[in-house]
Amino acid sequence: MVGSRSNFVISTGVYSLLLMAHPRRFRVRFKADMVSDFRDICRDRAAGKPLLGRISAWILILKDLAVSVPREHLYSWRRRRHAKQMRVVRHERHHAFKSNDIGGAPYHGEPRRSRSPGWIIDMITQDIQFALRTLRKQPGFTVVAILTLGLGIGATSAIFSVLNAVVLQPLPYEDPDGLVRFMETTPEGWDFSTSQPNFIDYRAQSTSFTDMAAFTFLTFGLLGEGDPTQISANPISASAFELLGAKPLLGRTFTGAEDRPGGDTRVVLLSEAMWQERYGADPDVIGRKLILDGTPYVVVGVMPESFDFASDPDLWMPLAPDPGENRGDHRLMAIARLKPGVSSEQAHADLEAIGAGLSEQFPDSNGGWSARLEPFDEWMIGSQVTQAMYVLLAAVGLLLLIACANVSNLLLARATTRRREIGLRAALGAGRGRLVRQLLVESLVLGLLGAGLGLVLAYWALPLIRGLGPMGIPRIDAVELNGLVVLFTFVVSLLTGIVFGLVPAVQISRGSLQAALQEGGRVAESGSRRLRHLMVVGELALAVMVLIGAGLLINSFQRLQRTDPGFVAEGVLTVPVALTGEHYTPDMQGQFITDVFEGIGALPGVTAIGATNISPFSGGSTAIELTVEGREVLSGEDYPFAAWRAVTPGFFEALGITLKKGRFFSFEQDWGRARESVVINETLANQLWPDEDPLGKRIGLGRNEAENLASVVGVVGDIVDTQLESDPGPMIFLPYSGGWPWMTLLVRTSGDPALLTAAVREQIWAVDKNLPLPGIAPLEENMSGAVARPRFNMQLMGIFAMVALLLAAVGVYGIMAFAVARRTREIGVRMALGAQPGKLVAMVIGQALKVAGVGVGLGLFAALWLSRFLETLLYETAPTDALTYAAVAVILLAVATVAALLPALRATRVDPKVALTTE
Amino acid sequence: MGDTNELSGSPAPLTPAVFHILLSLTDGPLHGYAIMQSVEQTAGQQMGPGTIYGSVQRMEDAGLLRDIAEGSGEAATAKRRRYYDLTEVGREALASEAARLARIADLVREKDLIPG
Repeated sequence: MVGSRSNFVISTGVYSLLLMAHPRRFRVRFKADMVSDFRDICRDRAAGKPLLGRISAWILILKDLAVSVPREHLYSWRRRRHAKQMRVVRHERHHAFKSNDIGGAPYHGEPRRSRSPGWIIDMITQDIQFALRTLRKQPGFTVVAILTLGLGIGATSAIFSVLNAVVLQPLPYEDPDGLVRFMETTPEGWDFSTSQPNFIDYRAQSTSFTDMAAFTFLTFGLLGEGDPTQISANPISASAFELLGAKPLLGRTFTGAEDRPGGDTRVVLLSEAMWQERYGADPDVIGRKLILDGTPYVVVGVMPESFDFASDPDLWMPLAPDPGENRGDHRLMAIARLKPGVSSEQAHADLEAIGAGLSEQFPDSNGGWSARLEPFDEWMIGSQVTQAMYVLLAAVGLLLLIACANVSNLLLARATTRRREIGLRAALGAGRGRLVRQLLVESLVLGLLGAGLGLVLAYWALPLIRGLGPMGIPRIDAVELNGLVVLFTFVVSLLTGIVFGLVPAVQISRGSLQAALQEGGRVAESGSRRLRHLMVVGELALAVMVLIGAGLLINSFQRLQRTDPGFVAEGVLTVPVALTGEHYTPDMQGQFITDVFEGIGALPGVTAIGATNISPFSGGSTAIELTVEGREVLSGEDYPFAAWRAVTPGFFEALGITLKKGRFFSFEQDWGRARESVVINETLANQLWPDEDPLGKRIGLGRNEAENLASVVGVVGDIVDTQLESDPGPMIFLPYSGGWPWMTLLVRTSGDPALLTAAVREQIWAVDKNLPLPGIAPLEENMSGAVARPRFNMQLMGIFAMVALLLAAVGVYGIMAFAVARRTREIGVRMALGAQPGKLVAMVIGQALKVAGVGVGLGLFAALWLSRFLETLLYETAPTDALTYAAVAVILLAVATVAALLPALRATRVDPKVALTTE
Repeated sequence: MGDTNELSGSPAPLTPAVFHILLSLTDGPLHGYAIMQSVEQTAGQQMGPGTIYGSVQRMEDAGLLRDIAEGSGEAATAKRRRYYDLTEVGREALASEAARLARIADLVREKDLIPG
């Protein structure tokens, strides 16, 4: 019967497979017979009752396997162990015979095992089990080693996860490589945003892009229950969504028809956050109406959280760029997608051509202007952030190396206690390679255990890092321990294990083979000691590098903080207001200002009050070209450029800006007379009239404004109000009495400005009860936000430096303690001969300082060479700042001295008698 | 001069499995399956191949059996099977164990626990 025959063959195959469970030796010998027996059993039992017979046969076979497999393995193991013991006996007999010249049994080495795949796994499993057992037997060492490694690996993982989330992860947009940021450039080459008509023209004329999109920033007041709220909105091109590959969570994005002046532009897309907070994630939100500054808008969709741009707005609305708008009013940010196959050089050439065309067509607004592109991710992430992250990663890598050096030293120190054990195993036939392998496995196991602890530490540390992280670092909320981070940690731990384990493994195995069977073998000692000292030298050098890095960043940060911005930030409260309601005509805006100034000015403690369109360090800036009376302008490049601020009377006093010449704005002289007077800063004065008195000179705002000139009535000291690290540039102040809705009030008080918040709010609401007042904050807070990123770098680096210092101190302590312990005899002798304890201490410390000195010296050299990579992160601090280097050197030498002190003192307490009898 | 091992030095009683295997070989060499069948008859217990060959291996190491790798008279399609035969040591061990069991049986009969 064919069917039963194939069944039979299958059964036999299955049994053969099951036989693999037996030990190799057993299998090799008996498998053939067992398979034959299996066949016979099946045949005999199946005779007469095929199904039942087969079943009973299988029951027997399975029972048999269940019993015999474990038994054979146990037997096999016993035989091997017994054989090893016999070999030791023979080996010792052999040596004895050799030295005593008596004939004896010939020595057979361990037979070469035949290699089969299972062999490697067996051996590795054995090694791992052995390693775990060994580690368990020395809990003190194991705990210290795992802690050290855990710190090092944990820090590395934490930083890597930040790097991963912030820099390495691709941006959450479709095909981000083709995305670019589009900017116009002034004749001087400054980057600038674009204007509505320009954007329309560039988009229509360029051939390098699949499409372009633009957006800008607006705020609206939203009335509802409770306090009036401010809504941040981004008018945005309908093309933006397709450009970025962004799909809405609900509903739809804008259509082309809505993105046109005169089209149906009263539609909005809610952000996921706003949808959840204000509408309770209501799925029926589509079609609901929203009233912004008195105008109704209809909700057409909700965008997911991942669609967040630079500003995280509450909602989006169609941009509807108007070609009739002022071409010189540059307020749009723009992005584009390169056509496939188009390089950025080609795109640049294309843009320059269009720019030249527009420059000819509209010389007043566009003369000399051009455009350029920037990679999208550089804009989103920023090269400074990327740089800082890599520096931190390098620092943490150094930290890990220090940890490795420490653990290496611990392993080497343990070598003396393990020599006997290892020597015995060598005698049992383990070759040098096998020993090294075993020791390496131990190191790898340690490394993996350290990595486990490290991941736990990193997991705890991440919320702290996220909290430390300033808002300026994009995607920092996304920092987490994901699969990639764990994989990275795993790889790092393996490498770490090899790095710190290889040297001790080689060293130990070299020394052990001879020393093992000798009494008190000191053969391997000196080599090992030099190695340990070398490790500590290395550790100290690495610690110096990390400490110098931290020191430079700390210095830089301090200098940054101490930078005089040209005004006094203490005691000033900032109150951003958005006078965007329909009833806010320029006159009403002016009226608001005077009313509010009156109310707030009367509050106790208020010494000055003013307002500006750009509050210091609020993240914005405005600039304009100037027409200077009497200056010939031959081409677009000749117009001087200056940042402009529209400020009310009281502004300069509120900020404590110094008056150099002339006067500040005042209500009597400048209110309501917008274009008559201006105030300039020193830099602009020196630029335009280096040898003349600027007072009385006349300037026009914009090009060809020779008909609309204003007089310079005052010169003030330079201020820095955008980035603390930058130098002050030319600045011009215009008197404001209405006409611009977004202003910030600046209230100077004699006390703590934060305490004034409630009173100020009251006064403002007394004038306009529907005005949202978010973001009232002391000016110092805004400024500290401006230095948030350098502070973040400094804090993290500082933590690494502390840990590095600690580890280095432990390293120095370790070798000194060990050295003292081993030289107990020598010390005892010296003391017995009358040496002073003081001299002994000096001797130990002197040795420690010798080692430390070399390490520190090496570290200083290395730091000198490597610190150039920090340059972009430093503010007014040279990478070779001598003071920092000197301070670090002194600190490390001091630490080394202290670390050596304890063992040194212990040395003096050695009892000479005990010392002399110690081995 | 073999290695010393656990099974040598016979005064300890043999396990039932060992005894029955030795017993089955008294009439001449047998291969594994035949031993299995014989033991099933004498001991009333079914032993599987793993158990049988495990015991065989240990008995070989102890010097109670030896393997005579001799071609069998079976059909040409069957693989060459191993045949096992008692050694002198094995015969002696069997004999002394049999004697021991006989002594116990006598004792039992004296006490009237079994008829005979």
